[in-house]
Amino acid sequence: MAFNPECLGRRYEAGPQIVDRERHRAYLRAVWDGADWEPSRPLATFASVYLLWPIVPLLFSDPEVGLDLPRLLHGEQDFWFDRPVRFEEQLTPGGEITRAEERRGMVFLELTCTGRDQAGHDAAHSRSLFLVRSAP
Amino acid sequence: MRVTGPLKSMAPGDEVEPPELSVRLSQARINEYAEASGDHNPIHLDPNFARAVGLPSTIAHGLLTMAAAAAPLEQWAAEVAYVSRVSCRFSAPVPSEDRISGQPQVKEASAGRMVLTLEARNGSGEPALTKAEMELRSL
Repeated sequence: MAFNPECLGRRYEAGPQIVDRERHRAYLRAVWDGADWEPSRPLATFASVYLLWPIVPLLFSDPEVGLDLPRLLHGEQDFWFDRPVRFEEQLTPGGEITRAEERRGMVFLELTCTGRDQAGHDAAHSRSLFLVRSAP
Repeated sequence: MRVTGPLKSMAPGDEVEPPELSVRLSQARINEYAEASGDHNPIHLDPNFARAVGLPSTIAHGLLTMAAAAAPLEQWAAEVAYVSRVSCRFSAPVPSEDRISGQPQVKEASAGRMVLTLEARNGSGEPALTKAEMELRSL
């Protein structure tokens, strides 16, 4: 399956996601030893769970993109927020391919995601740069 | 004023001391993160698969490395600020069982806003997270 640079602009939608406190507890235990800390807000990087990961499988399985997954690397990650995200609120993630190019055999693919709240306002954003190394 | 301990205010001019980073990314932690995050890529979980794609061992998820570097700072600042941005480049893999380490620094500070560096090195001393920053805003 060959990479298709024409995939720029392709969009993906996932169903509504709850910023789940219990799932966050398991996430916090995995990433940090301060186990007795009970934060009042989710960690910023927890956006990987409610915003990025609902979209990534849609991208990775999209035959119109043609990613060589065993050779894929996560190159950069950026999360930003319009306001503090709250536990138990519902956000609906959407994603778009905002960069798709191949240079000297290396694929550069950027996925930008936005989480919209129930009032229709943007609350959380993610930009991921994925690299696919050329086959030997 | 020099301020130690958890961040209590974001007053311009205060000299604050963000906590040092030192976290071991054990295979058990990587497995736990895979369950919690839903990222079951076998390069993080299966040593045979990792070797087959040219890695010496399983490696930590980039997003786990980022989260482990960011979490202590979030706890440090949680009483007075929220994270409005966190970003990084994944520059070198972190093999399982490596300890990541670093010393966050205040890069910018103004009324109600602070930017910290978040660089981290892997167990071999290679920069694992570069161009890594966290922006805090007052609650």
